[in-house]
Amino acid sequence: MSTIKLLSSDNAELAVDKEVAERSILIKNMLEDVGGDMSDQAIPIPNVNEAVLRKVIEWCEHHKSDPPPPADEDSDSRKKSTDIEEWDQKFMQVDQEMLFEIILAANYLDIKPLLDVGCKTVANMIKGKSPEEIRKTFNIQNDFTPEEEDQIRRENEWAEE
Amino acid sequence: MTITSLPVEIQSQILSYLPVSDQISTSQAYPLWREIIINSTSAPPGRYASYTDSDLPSIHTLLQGHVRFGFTYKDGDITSFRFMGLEEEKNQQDYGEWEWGQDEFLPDDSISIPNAAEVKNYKISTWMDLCEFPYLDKPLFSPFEEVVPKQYSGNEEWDRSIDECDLRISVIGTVIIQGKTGISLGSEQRMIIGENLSVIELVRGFLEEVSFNYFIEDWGITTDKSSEVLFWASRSSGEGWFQHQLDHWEFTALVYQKSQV
Repeated sequence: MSTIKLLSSDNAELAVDKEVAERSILIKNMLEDVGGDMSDQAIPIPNVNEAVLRKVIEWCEHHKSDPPPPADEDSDSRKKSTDIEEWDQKFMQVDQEMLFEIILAANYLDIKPLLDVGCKTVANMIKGKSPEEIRKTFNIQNDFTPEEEDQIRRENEWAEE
Repeated sequence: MTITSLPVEIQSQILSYLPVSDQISTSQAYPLWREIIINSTSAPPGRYASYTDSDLPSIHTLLQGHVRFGFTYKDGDITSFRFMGLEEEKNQQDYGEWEWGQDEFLPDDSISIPNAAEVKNYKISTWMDLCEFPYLDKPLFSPFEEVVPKQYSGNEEWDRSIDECDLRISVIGTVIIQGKTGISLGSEQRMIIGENLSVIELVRGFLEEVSFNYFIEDWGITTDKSSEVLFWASRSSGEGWFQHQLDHWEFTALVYQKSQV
């Protein structure tokens, strides 16, 4: 099995099975463009640092023999359910910084199933929370204007009656 | 790196996985999310409940049986809208409570609340204010799908139940699909017809009907006092009182008024 090398943004060189790396559509297309032979040259991944790249490769390794996702991108089952398989749940038990970095890397590297799992993980973190709890969870500054804020406060008072 | 520094299309994807109650919460947490939820041009999965086993149009999620959509009115004017989501209870431990006492929204068996049996398996979230929430202006039926026009002649039934301290009336209206979307409500076959009828238009039409209907006062609901209305849609198979009915959406309103002590 052929191996290729990836070069992270912080100049770490990681060797990966070609089959694993091709979970990334970006890398797959890149390899096709150069005729598949990248054995002596590392592919630069300028937007992803070593720690994140290792995580992404770990995911690709585990999912290397997954069947391709259904062609219909907007199929109901994919969109509606936030169920995540157990291995992926464990995989996503990282701090928020890493979680968002993985999502960004999956987006950049075009690994749709990983992007979906990441977004579902975040959605599950939002579920069942009040607006205030959501802000607290994600450390979001309250960007509403004082008038909007006043409106929300009145809504809350009313809801507590 | 924070959630708000992710590209907008990724934030949109995250929000698209949320059921409507969480979309309401997120819209109040962060202005950009409010914009995303209001302006989403694709069909947000939380907004319309679809049924693949029926050719009925998908209905606005505020009115489906798993949630409680309500409003209050006084002297014919709507004074508030609110919404309560029911979340599937996974561990059966942390039951919420009905804010006004559970029995009040689960009345006797003579009034059929859709999924009443299932309600016990759901965690009840708290009421959320909907007055400013733009979902109300959205079409009652999904604009994201083709609807096969149908002929249907409506009928309605008024039901009444009284217990010691409260009065409730259920009003069943039926939907008519005749190329246009329309609703018939109340005893006089008053109809609300409109292209892309919105949730709020349906509610206003209902109120108009209620204020015209003398039964309401006969049954002790007075218009000068604030009334609470719970409003929902359920699918009717067309079997039952009238054989000629086709599959249709049926709307039920529960008018609720606290008695004077």
